[in-house]
Amino acid sequence: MTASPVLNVIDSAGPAREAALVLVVGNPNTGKTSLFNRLTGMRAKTANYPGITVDLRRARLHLPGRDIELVDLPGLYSLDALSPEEQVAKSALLGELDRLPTPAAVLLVLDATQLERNLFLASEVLELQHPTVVALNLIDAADDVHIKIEVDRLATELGCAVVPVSARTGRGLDDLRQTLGRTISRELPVLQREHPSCTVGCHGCTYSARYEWAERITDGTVQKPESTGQHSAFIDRVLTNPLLGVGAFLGLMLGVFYLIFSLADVPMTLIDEGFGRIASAVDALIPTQPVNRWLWTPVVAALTFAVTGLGYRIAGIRWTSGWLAFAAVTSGLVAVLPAGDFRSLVVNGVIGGVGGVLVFLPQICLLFFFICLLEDSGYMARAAFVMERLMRKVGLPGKAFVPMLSAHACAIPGIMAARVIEDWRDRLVTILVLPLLTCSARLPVYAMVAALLFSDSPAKAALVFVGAYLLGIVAALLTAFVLKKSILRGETVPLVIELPPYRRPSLRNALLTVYDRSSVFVQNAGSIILLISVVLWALATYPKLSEDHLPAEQAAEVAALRVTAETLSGEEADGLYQEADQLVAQAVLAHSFAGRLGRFVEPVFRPLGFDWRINVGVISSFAAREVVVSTLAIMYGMGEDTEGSPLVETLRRQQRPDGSRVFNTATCLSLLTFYVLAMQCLPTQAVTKRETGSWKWAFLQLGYMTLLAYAAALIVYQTTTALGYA
Amino acid sequence: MIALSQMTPGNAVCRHVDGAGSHATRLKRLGICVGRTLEVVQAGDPMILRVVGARIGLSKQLASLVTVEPSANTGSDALADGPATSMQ
Repeated sequence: MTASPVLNVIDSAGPAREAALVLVVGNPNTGKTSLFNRLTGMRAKTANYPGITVDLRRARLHLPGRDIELVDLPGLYSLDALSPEEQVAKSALLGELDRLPTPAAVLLVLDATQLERNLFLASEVLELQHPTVVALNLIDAADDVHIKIEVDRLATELGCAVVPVSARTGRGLDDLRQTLGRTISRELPVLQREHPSCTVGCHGCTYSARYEWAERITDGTVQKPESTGQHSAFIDRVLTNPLLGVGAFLGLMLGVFYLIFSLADVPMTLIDEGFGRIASAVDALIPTQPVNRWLWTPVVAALTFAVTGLGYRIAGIRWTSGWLAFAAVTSGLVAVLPAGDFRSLVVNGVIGGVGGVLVFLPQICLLFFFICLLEDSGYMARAAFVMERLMRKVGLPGKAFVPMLSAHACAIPGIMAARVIEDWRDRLVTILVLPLLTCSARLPVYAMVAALLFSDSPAKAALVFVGAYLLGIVAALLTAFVLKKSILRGETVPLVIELPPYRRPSLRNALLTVYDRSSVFVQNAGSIILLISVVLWALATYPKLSEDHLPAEQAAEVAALRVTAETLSGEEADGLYQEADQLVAQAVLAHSFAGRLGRFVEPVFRPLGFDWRINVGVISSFAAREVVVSTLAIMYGMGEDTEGSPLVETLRRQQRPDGSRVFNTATCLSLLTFYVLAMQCLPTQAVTKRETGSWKWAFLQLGYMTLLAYAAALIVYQTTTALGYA
Repeated sequence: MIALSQMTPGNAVCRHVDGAGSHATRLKRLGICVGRTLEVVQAGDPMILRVVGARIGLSKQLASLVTVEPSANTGSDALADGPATSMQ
């Protein structure tokens, strides 16, 4: 560091109590986010700004002298702002972002191994005349390849403090904090700097001028050996080869998917069992005997209010009068529920509904984790590079491939990973088609249909899966093609991408990213999932049908079963009692709004070969598609917990009023087609809304997917019926 | 003077970048601008360049916007995925 000449002293007597805003700026691949994570650790939060779809991570830091608010801006190559992320970074730097004050200082992160290139952005940022501290990151990597930088001289040239640091080892971080603290709390020197865009030989091209300036400064301050980057060059000869590269990429992705599915298995089982245990614990906790109304009502009201408040807190909803009224009305309604209904609401509605979605969280986290590792290692850029030519054929950039692949485990990480696509239109198209790809929540449905069609032949059943996956992929690519030709018309932005040197990814970074992104998911989807779970529970529960009012036929059947059961003992009796209970559950669901809705929409779905019971399944799986399996189990009198084959056997026996089978080949194929293509996932919708900044795109997604699913299932059913497979 | 898209591996100096829109900006800000030395590391679509110390993947469509003047020593050692073009 040098004592640079102080030419301009700004009085820092601004709003002293507020933490000073410090923006972290730098090129992509400079380890900027690693440095931010090193400085802030778990204190960092993703700020949710209405109207901004770009994530800004921020954290408050105690520095000697003053507290600062450190904000990690998205990486950018220049202030031209060609992507939404760069636009936000630029606006923040210019103090034009409504939600952020003018920055008190800028922490400019430069890659010591790529100084000349990084100085391009530096020249633009320094011209903004904010008090600036340069963090010369990756200094250990520079040492390793014998790059020597004269830090003092660089500081003089740039006119600001320069601190060599290594985010990986933590070297220089104390110095960096000290320097930042001094820059902000002391006299805030703003230094006279040269303006490369005007002072250095202009060819009328500011870019050239800046690069000439960068070259001049690097020549004077950096000594490096003749050759660097051999190691990356060697690996790249394989990984960017048109054939080997694609092969390597597919192999790697296959490995990642294998890891995701095998690693996620244990936590998914744990979550599933955990929620089951919570449900039974809560079930046992709720008194079965009538409780004093005066005690019950306030306690339940307070509990509901607390849960609603928790939901608001997670979703970041403020307590406006409208939301307060909503919480109060909800609490009042829940408090007057009979104890039995309350039990069912808590156990089936809330715990069951939330658990059903959270069970996918391990897969989501693992995907975030691997995507982050691949990005940090520098490999992602190569993947985009090798997939570019293939993807261009459907009008999407190469960078869309990794999101599309991720969506085969879960659409949510895929949609978030679409942020790497700079062009807004390309990104939007990718997001819109991602949910068509087969995610793991569809697998239970595929498994059911495959078993219905070919329980005798595993090979044929496997064909069902392959067909469903292919249908999803073809539908996604065709839809992307059509969208690019119609409402999101525009040229696909051709590839120009930095292929950063390969680096060992940081586990710490990956874990923080997982934490960060999964909290974003829970925040955005959590409260909606809760709300819809309760609504769907209510639809399936009300209006209630007490056992005394069962339709005559079922009442007789139930009574007969119970009478027989009384004459027996042990397992046989239990079995009959259970069968009777299942009959009751079936009648209750048929009587509910959901059941009535299923009958009401029967004419709509009849051309697809669905009967009203299947319709109830379709309705109940509106928020989460895998629910259809358990709903069908109830609708066909199987009880909820039935595993695979007995359900399939029962379903196969079902007959239509005319005596034909309900689940014939045509209906099975039509049902499969419908579930491949239909939206049926509220968390995905919530994330689409978040990433695109508007419900408009989420509704468009829902609309076109529903129409597509309906039309395709209609064609499949009518064709197969006409061919005689009914 | 030839279009960058026609280059075989080797060095060239960038003489002109066509167009004014965001395509040209994308190129220029990564160092593909007048006066910089561009080293074609791997030809094809997309191609790999080495510019200002970094490797850049570039589609043919964009490469055709760039006019370059191949350096004299281009050709024989073209396939060598060579040392960084030193700017010093």
